[in-house]
This record gives sequence, structure tokens and C-alpha cells, in this order.
Amino acid sequence: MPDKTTIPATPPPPVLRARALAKGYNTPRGRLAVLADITLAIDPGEFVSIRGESGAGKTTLLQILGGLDRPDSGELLWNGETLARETNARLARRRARWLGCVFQNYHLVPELTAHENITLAARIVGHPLRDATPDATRLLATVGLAQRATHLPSQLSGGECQRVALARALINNPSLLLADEPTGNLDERTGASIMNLLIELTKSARIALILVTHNTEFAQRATRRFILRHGVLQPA
Amino acid sequence: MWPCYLARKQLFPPRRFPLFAFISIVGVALGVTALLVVQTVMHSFGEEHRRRIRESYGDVIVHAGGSPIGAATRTSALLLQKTPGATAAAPYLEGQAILMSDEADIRFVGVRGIDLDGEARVIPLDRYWEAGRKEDFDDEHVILGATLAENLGLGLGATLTLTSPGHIAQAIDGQRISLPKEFHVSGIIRTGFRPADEQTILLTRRAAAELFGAAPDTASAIHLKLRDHTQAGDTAHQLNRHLPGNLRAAPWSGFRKAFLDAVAMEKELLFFLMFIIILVASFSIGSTLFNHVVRRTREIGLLGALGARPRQILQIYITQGILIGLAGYALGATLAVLILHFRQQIVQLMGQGETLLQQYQFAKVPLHYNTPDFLKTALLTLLLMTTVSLLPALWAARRKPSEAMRDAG
Repeated sequence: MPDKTTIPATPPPPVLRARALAKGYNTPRGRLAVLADITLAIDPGEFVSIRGESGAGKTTLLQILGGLDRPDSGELLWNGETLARETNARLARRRARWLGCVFQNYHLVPELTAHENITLAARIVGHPLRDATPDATRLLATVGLAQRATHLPSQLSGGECQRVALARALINNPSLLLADEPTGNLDERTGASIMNLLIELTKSARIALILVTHNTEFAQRATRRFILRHGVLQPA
Repeated sequence: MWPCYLARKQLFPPRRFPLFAFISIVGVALGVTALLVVQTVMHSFGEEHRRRIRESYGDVIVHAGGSPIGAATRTSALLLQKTPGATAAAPYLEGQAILMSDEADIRFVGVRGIDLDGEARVIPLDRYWEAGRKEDFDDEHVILGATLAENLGLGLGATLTLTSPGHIAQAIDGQRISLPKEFHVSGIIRTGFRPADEQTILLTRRAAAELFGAAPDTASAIHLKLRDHTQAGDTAHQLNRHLPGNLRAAPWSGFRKAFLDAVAMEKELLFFLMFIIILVASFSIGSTLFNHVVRRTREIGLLGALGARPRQILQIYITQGILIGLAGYALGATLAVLILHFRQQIVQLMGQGETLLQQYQFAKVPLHYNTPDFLKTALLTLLLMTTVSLLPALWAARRKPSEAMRDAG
């Protein structure tokens, strides 16, 4: 009888791994270091919050983690693959499939309806409109805007725009969702409702979430919490 | 193709007047209209002149280098029989005469002696006929150009006297001369071509021969009508290889060549000048397009964040340039066709009818559309609009998503 050995399942690689990321900008008074030594690993489905003072570099960090900008030094890996040698076009293609973004100002295309804004993200990835349409309809219903599908952003409230932005961020089933002050422009009640929706949807789909916020209460709900201070992430 | 879809949506936003698109399209359309109107009018002048020349001289003219052609009737019949593609041939006898009428001074006129039936098969006399009956035309009667008849105050049945300058010279030399001969007006024609209407006096060829003291059945030339006038050059060339004696064939295109070349050059020059104007307009549209793209910085950043590749962002704004070009061309071409349709009224409104008559000899502005002019203008418009949209499109495509979103605030 052969010896039956149980091989333990290999844990999936972190969705995102950052090693010693640094970023600075040239100013008239010399080089300004914004990020000094960012090291971070995020597992699938994990919820991480980052707080920090205005100008601390939270948005810059988020942009580097999301591949929207490149670090001056350090290494960034998505699902275990480095991004250092990717061209801008290839990076864009990977970003489209792997990443979802929610911004403070919603950033909806003003000429497109709520439904069209959501399908646009799917079409950028390369999905045909006929495939994207039912997904967008389902997501609109999920965020409670089924009746607002044909409304333009100018006809929606701030909270509704952010729900559309959330649906857009989720349509390509990303591995990671970056939320940059998603409730910054909303009143307390609407902000809390958006936050609940964001956490609920990412949790149910096992999407890792990095939330940048000033709001201590929302940040407390994360599984891991950081404060960005002097360009370094410190546990909160 | 989402970039084209987004380009169209941004250019023609729903439920809002597309002001940017409207201004840009109207800008392009006005340039296209100006170019097409100028090109078509100049082409029409040239084409109308060519048509008049063909209708005055025939498609191919056989002459004897200034000497009279004898046995013209038989030669004409032989030419008709032997010339490939010829549908009619008619001899004519031309010369200068002195005209005297009751109401006018003595004046020199060009006289053409014709065989009416044969002539009407080469030249569309029936179309030009304004008054009188063809049946009345004989050795005692003349047909006058309408303007000449008006200037002389001569109507149907009026009498005029013609004599040849050669007779005057003979009289001075003391030789026997023929007396001036009286003719009656039996017909009036109006071609719409000033030289023809001001100078035409048609006699029978027999009467003309008598007037000029030429032998019977002689002709200055024989003109031929071809099934396809564009073959006139080849036909004349072939005829010249076989024609006997001093007979020579010339295509219609050789007549008034200098004038037609001048019209063609004028057209090219005007095209060049209009092109410069359109180039200036294109750059100002390019500048508007640049502003439009700069105002979209945030969206450019967003598209990058959503995974749009630089090539796709480039595509959005080049598509917008092409759409503006296409719509501008369509509108401009429509406007041009409308203006050309009402060209006569516009010329009258501008009070330029007499200038037109004096400079180009036409009573009405002719209209001959030229498809290559329309195609050339369409190609030029698209090329210019693609070029001017390239710069803002490249600017947009090279923006880093992070920078674009930060700059937009």
C-alpha cells in the first residue's frame, strides 16, 4: 500500500505585494519625498484602510498600488507578477481586468447614462456590449438604481453617482478595489450607506479593498488599519 | 469599438445642444462650401466654353490651311463615310463681310455659309432657334444671332445688305465688281454664348460663295460630329494620316486653347487660395479641439484608470476630428449645392450679370458638377481634420492617468 500523504494546498499569492516603494516629486525647493518605504501585502478578500493627514501622500500611494503611476524605486507585484517591466499599454490592459477604482468625485462620464457608464468599463476590457448589458443591469439593481439606468450623471444625486461608480468598479470582477475617499463628498447618512454597500459587495465577491479615508469610523471596520505618516505606513 | 462610441457621445451629448460640435462643423462646412462653389463655378465656365466650342466648330474640323476646299459636298460625304465614330459632317464657307442695314451704321461681320440640313446635324441649331421658320431659309434669306438682331433693330422679314471687303478692293482697283446683295431675315437664333449671338450671320453656302466670289461648292472647312467627343483628338490624329493633299484635321480641343488654359489655371489658383483660407480655419478648429480635449483631462485620466490604452484614447479624439470633418463636409457640400442651385439669383442680387456677360460671354452662370472636385475636397477635409485633431489626441494619449486626474482636480 502506498503511503497516503496529504499535500497541503498552496496558499494563493497575495493580491498585491509592495516592497520598499518610494516616490518623490521635484519642487522648486528640491526633491520632496512623498512615499519613503512602503511595504505591504494584501490577501484576496482582505479589507485594508489607510488614513493620513491631507498631503500625506495617500492618493499617490493608491495610484502607485493601482498601477496608475510608477514608483521611483521598490517593487510592486499583482497576483505575484511584477509590474516593473510592463509597458504603459500592457499595464493598462492588466489594470482593466484586475483593478476597480472608486473616487471621491465619482468621475462618471457626463455624456453617458448610468447604465452606459457601467458598460463602458466592460467594453474597455474588451467585452462586447451584448455581454456587458445584463451584467450592468444586474449591478445597477444591486446598488439600488435599477430605475435610474437611463439617467445622466447630472440627473443623479451624489450618492447615486457614487453607487454607479461602485457598480462600474465591480463589473469586471476585479481582484482589488481601490476606494479613494469614496464618501468625502457625501453627507453622513449617504456616506454610511455607500460604505455599507462597498464593504458588503467586496466581501461577498472576495475582492480585496483598500480604503483611503479621513473617517475614523469607516477605517475601523477594516481588518487591517494603517496610518500614512512621513511617507511610511504605520499600523493604526 | 468603444472609442468611436465615446467619441460620438462626447461630440453629440444627449439632451444637450452640441455647441462645440456645432461650431466646429459649421466652421468646416463654410470652408468646404467656399471651396466647392469656387471649384464648381470655375469648372462650369471651362466646361461651358468647351461645350460652346464643340457646338460652334463641331468635334473635328477638316480644313485646307486657309485655302478653299473644292467639291465640298462630295468630300464631306466621303469624310462621314470614312471617319470612325462620325455621325454627321457638314461643309461651311466663312468670311468677313460688310453689313449695311436701314437702322444701323456699316459694320464688319463674320458670315458663315451653311447647308442648313447638314449643319443642323453637326450643330444643335434646333435648340438655339428663337424665331422664324427653317423652311424659309434660302439664298435670299439670312439667320441672325439674337444680340446682333437686337443691336441692329432687325426682326423677322427685315432687310439688310451684305457685301464683301474684296469687292471694295476690286472697286478701288477699277475692276468689275458684284453689287452689294440684299437679304431678308428669316430666322433668329440664341445660343447664350455672347460672341455667337453678337456676330452670327448665317447664309446658304451658295449665297456665301457668291458673296465672296468663290467657286460653287467650295468650303472653308468641313466639320464633323462624333458619337463621343472625347475621341476627337484620336480621330483627328488618325484622319491626318490618311487625308489627301493639303487637308488637315483638328480636334475641337485645339480651339481657344489659350483661353481654356487660362480658365484652368484660374481654377487651380483659386483652389490654392481657398486652400490657404481653409488651412487657417482648420488650425483654429484644431485650437478649439485642443481646448475641448484639455477640458476633458479628468475623463482622460478616468479612462486610463479604467484600463484604456493610449492608442484607444488617441482613437477617441482622432475619431472626433474625423466626425467633425465628415459632418462638416456633408453640410458644406449641401450648402454648396444649394448656393449653386440659386446661382443666377445670387449673381443678379450682386448686380454682376453684365460683368459675367462681358468677362465670360455667358448670359447665365453655367453649372456642370465635377465629381473629382467633390472627391478631392472631401479627401482634403478629412486629411486636414485628422491632422489638426492629431495634436490634441496625442496630448491626451500621452497623459498619465494619475497626472490627468490630479491636474483636473
